[in-house]
Amino acid sequence: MNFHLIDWLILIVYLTGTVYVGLRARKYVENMEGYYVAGRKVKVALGSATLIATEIGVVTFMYFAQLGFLTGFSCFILGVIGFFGYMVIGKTGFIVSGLRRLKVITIPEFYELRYNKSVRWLGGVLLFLGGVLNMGIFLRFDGIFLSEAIGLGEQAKAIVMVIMLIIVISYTVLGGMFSVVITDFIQFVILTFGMFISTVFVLAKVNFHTIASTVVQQYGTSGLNPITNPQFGWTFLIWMLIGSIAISALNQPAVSKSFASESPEVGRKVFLYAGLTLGGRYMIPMLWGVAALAVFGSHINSLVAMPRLLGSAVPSGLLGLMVAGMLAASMSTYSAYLLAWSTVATRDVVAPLLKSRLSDDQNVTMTRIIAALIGIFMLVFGLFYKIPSTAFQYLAITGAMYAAGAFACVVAGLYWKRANVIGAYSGLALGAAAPVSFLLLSLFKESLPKSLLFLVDVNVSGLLSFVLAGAGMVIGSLATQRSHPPVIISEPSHGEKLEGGLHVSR
Amino acid sequence: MSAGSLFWLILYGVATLTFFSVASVITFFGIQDLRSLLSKANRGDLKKKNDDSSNSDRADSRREMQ
Repeated sequence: MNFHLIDWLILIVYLTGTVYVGLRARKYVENMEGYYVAGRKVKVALGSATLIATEIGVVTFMYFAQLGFLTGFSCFILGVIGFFGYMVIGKTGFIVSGLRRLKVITIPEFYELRYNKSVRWLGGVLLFLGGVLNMGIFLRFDGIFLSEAIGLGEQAKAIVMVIMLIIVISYTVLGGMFSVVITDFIQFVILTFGMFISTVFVLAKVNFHTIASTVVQQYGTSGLNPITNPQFGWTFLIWMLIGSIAISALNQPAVSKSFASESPEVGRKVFLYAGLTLGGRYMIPMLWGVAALAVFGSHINSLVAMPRLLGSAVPSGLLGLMVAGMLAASMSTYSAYLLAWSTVATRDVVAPLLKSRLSDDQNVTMTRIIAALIGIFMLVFGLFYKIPSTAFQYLAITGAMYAAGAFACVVAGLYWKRANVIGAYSGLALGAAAPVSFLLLSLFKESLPKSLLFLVDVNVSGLLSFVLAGAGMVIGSLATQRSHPPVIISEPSHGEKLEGGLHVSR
Repeated sequence: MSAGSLFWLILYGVATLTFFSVASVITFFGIQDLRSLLSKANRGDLKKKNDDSSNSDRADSRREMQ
């Protein structure tokens, strides 16, 4: 066991403190917007901290480290692409400012404003399914990380998963976005410290020269060149280029931080500052993975290598702090994701099916129940599902399931006057088709005819989802302009004052 | 060390340094933002501003105005 008494004490103090603070935040929730978007009063630095904390979790450390282990320095290109995506959004306010100006709480609410209620429902279902499948493997990675880093062994994985889940659900379900924002901030500080400690001790154990030599020895030029690397190539890089903008701007847990900001301008800046850290967020764990390759060689399991390295490199005392930092990263991710997907399920999937309107209290209660159910799903799915590709590619393909259609519907809805309801249906359905085919056909990969094997290439499916969604939106809209005239949402003219600063015309 | 390795390691250094620098600045100003948010919440300012919350309601009312 790598953990000693001092490490356990640090961990217990941290966990108890987080739950206490998270539960105390419940007192700030006075109405529905307080629960869902913290009253839309979050400023730039706090918003940036919570966005970064949301997007860093043990699962991100694990899949980036796995990529580093399996592809060498080639995967660093993802940091460059991701940085580019965030900068586009942060500099221009692309998508996020438009949505924040409309004061929506979830992305499907925009579908109702721009298209109709049925598009909102379909978009809500896809967003929820893609999001929950995406989140389904998070707990499993936490279980692997903690049991390896602490040294508990494989058999402790399920117990670790259950404890993590109970802690996060307890404060997220009760405190809503206030809890998420406050605990995210604390977790941001601790996780940054944890990343710093880990990096220092990993580099003390393995120097840059050894790491670089290992990459060249193991992978040759494909460890340095993402285009020639068999895991990547042009298809993957183009998919990532489009996907990085789409998923960054339309990932409900992340974009809800922009919705919670005090103005559209603040929402844009949150993405700008969070974007500045993106290269580091990707490359720091990737280098841990490459360092693990240098220390253990290529025969060890690619997922287990990084946590085992951290467990052996970081000394007792600091190991407790490092694990607390990693746990902080995960808890902030879970809390934001649980809240985001349960909000979508309540407001965009369940509520439209009910005959009577839900009151604010009923909305919040239903969100809490759904968050708890998602938690149980994560536990079962995490324990039994076998991932058909690398963890990163699995997350990217489930992300594409909702992001491709959402990207077509939101971008066209905000910036193209001719986008209409038929285009929206086509975009959503076609955007989800390739990722769903990939996930289903991967289960029967061995019995597929050769002509259909391209559908189980994760990179082809991912890129195809965006191409099909865009084509569906454009062709569907242009072909049905007369039968389904577009709904236009526009800013009011001078002197005209409408609620929310908007009006809708058909 | 090859030129390719050196390129990626320099990029890693820049990205890591930027991450920890920006994180420090965000931590410093974030504390002030958090205090401001919680003091507003304590005073009940948020409730007054957000009682007009439901977006669906806004959409419905806007459509009725057309």
